[in-house]
Amino acid sequence: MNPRAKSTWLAAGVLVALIVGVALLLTFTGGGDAAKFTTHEVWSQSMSNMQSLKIIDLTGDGQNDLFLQNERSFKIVDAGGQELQAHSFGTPLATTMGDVNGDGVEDVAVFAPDSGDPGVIVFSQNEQLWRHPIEQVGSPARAAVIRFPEQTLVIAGDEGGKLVALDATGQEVWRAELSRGDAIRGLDDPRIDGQIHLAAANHDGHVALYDVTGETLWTYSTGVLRRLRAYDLDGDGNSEILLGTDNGQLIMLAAATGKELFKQRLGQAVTEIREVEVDGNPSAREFVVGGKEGGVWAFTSSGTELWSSNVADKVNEIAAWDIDQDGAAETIIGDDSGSVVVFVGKTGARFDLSGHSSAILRIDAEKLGDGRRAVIADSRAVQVLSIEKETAPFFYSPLIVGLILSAVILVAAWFVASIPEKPAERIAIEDQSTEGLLAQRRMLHENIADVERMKQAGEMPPEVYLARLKELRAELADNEASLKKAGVKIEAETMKCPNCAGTLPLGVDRCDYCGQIVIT
Amino acid sequence: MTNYDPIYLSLNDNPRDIVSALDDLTARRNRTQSAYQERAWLPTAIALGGVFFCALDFMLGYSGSFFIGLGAGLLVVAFVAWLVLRRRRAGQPLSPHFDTARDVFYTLRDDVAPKKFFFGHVDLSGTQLPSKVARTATNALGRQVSYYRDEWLSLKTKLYDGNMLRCSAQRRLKIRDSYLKRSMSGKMKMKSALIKGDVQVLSVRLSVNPQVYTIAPHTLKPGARAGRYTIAQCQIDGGILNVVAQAQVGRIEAADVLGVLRLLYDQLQRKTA
Repeated sequence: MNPRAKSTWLAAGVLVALIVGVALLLTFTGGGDAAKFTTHEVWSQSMSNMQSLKIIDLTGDGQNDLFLQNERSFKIVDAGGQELQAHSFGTPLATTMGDVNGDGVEDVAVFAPDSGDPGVIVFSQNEQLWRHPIEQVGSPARAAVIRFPEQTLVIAGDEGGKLVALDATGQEVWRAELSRGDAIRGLDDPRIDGQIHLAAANHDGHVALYDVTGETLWTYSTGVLRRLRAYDLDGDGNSEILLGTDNGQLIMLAAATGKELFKQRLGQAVTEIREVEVDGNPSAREFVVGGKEGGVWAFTSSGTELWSSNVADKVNEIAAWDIDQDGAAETIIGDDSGSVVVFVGKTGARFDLSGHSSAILRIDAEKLGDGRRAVIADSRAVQVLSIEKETAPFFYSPLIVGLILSAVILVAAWFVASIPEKPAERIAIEDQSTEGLLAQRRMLHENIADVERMKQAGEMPPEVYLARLKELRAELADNEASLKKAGVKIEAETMKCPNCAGTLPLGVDRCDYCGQIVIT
Repeated sequence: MTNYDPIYLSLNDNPRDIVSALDDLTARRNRTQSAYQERAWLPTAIALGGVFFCALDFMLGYSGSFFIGLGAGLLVVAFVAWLVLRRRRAGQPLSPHFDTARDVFYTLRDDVAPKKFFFGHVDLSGTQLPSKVARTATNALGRQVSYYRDEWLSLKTKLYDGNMLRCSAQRRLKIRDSYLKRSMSGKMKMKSALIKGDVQVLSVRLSVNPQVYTIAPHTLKPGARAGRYTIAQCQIDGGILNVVAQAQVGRIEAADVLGVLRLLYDQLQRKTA
């Protein structure tokens, strides 16, 4: 085996050992577990510009239904997509769900224009429970059913910042003005000492907490506001209120006091906030925030960032679903470009699901029919999907990859090592017998004489002459050495310059090549 | 201009061994080349494998991207294999003058005196080398002109009939060197080197054995043709025939060199016993 083949095999061996080592390490430390999420469509139907979507039992049969609302109507369909009820209204329209009449079944409250003044209509199990016009309010903006300990109130918020509370029979209980001239942007039901209250926010950034009588417990003000959510993240019976602003601030307020617990600038407008059990630890809840530029962040209840990532466009909706049943919920994100992305609970590892041709508007994930389903609404249709986590087959493992790569490296090494040596560029076909060496000596003398003659005739520049002479003298010295080795008695004609090691004829006093004095 | 693999052969051996060594060299080069060609598909195949695994990873969609890693690894292996194979292939062909020299040696193999050698070299390392500049001068425009003297074949041998043959084939090039010139627009432009003269010269010196031959020149005179060579100078100095022949062609064949040798031998008359 020639040295080049040896070095090729050596390099290949080192590489293979390295690759197999890394592959084994990944395999046995679990770093090589791969998976993907696959979707299967259960059914879909067209419904444009969805504004609200929720999987919820609205019929009281113990089976979840699907509530769908767009800009002028809502409908309720069963798990198979069969329409159960549908109602149309004027625009704009705000809907909410909650048990208004206390029968244990969620009702639908609609805040919509109603032949003149806007009014609230409540539907319970496919029947209109009551209808109540509200005087001196603007266009509908938001509605909520708040189950205060004392009584359940339906809260209607208008485009001018007014809040009107109606009781379970539709009678107005109180009204309040959060701020003048801007729309109600968020209504939620935070708990203080376990008791439900009303948190309301205006688009202009005014936030207030109300009790059942409509009394303001505290107010807070920030920049232009996009989202208000209330969750009891740390499970202490007091909710935290999360605010997302247009200037990219994420603010956490204590519902009990209205004091800031945490404030962070995210660098882009906050478009959505949802509670997601990201880390699988039920003692505290986490939440995920989406941004206008596609940013996605997961935070703990104390505001520590768990992971962050990006999707293609503005985050329109965030939903949670523990798809792989490991206790930590996966975060499903729908964005403005139509992409649906799953982020794995603890790690935030990203998986792209099949995209849509138009913006994703709403997503919800709950049990629907015979299993858990994700309902995704884009601008044109609503689609019910089952999502499954698929573990990679055996061949998709670092060990197999390492073995294939090693095999290819060894094959390539064999091919390279077994290629014959390229013939040398300088070859001597010389007889090393005494006769041959003597003939070579004569010829070298003749060649030196030729070079001298050409220099005399001016046919050779001095530097070329010296280079050629050095070459020929070196060959002569080699020839002398070979002749001496062969036992031929010859008179030495050459010597080596002690300075530059060039071969010189005996008897010269100065080296032709380096100019040093040479005394022999 | 065709590029050739450079090669230098120093010769001091009997003709049959030299021819055999030259044939062996050709065979080894052919073996290397065919081995390269047999393996040339390997980098392409590995690279395709790399692309396949990358594409497969995208299609499968699993996290981990192991096949993308495999594909990238295969692409790196393919690139390294391609580089190594390329470095080890025979590369460019040898100059056609290699075959010319081989055929000259082959033809003269039986004409060498017993126990005598061919001595000399075959230098196919290229013409335009600094070591082959014979002289430099400046032309009428003040540009440097280099004169190259490339002795690609040198042969000395004692022939069977007692004559001593010295033969030297050279290529002489006159080249106006490249230079920088300012154009009309003011930009500096490189004017490439220009070949102003390219001539093949064959110098033959035949020291005639006076015991066997007398010299009786009848066809040897300047202007006489021998193959592609034209006799430029001829001189009879005592018992020595000196001939310089020239040809304005790029490639010299063995028949051209042997034609000149034959022309020289035509001037000899064998003495009667």
